[in-house]
Amino acid sequence: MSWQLFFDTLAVFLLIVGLFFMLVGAVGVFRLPDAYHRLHAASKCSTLGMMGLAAAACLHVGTPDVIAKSVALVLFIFVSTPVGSHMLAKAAHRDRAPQWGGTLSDELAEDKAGGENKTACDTTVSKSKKKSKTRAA
Amino acid sequence: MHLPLMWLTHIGVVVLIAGILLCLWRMVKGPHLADRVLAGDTMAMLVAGLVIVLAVKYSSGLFFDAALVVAILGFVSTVAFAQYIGAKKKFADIPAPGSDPGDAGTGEGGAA
Repeated sequence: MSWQLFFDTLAVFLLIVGLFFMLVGAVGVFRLPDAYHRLHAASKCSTLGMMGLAAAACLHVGTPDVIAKSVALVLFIFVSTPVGSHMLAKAAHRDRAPQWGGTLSDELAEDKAGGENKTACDTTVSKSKKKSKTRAA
Repeated sequence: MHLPLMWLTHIGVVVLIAGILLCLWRMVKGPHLADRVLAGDTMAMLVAGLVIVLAVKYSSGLFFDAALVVAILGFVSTVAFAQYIGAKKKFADIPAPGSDPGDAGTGEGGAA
């Protein structure tokens, strides 16, 4: 068994994983109920899917420039996707994007509402602890 | 070429184009502006994935520059639109320059 056959078989596996995650991300963007759920699906799945596809291309093509470029691409996506989706989620919350009916708690809105007079950190922590206890009960 | 890999690249092109169509539907239909921006970001990721699948199909390294450029443009446009969405309300409160404060909502400043 030659090395090229081994690498190509591994590339088939990685390509299946990457395509699966990309498709799950796109279906999540299509199906989930509100903007925050859609951000959750899109950012994680496209990051993992791009990692799988770039690793498959590394193994199949295998020249040094392809390996360098795909490592740069994966590092850039690992840094940029969480930053972009965090900024988008914060902006959507500030613009009051509608939330799903089954949303249990909105702690950022609670902090913003109670943040003017209660500046001590302990009150916020105890409040969120109490909330999680009531949710678990 | 490895035969399952060749078929898998064909299937992958179909799968990624189906994902692009799903994101396009969300971009047309999305109730909030953040939904449209998020669909555009996911679509940029899917296009970069499509370019990488084509690089596997043709066994060429020339496609990777295009994938890198698409990823960078998707990130930059997401950040720009996020800044716009976050500051939209602040811009709406400011009256347009040259218009009276009384009719700020009816002047041409309301369109921006």
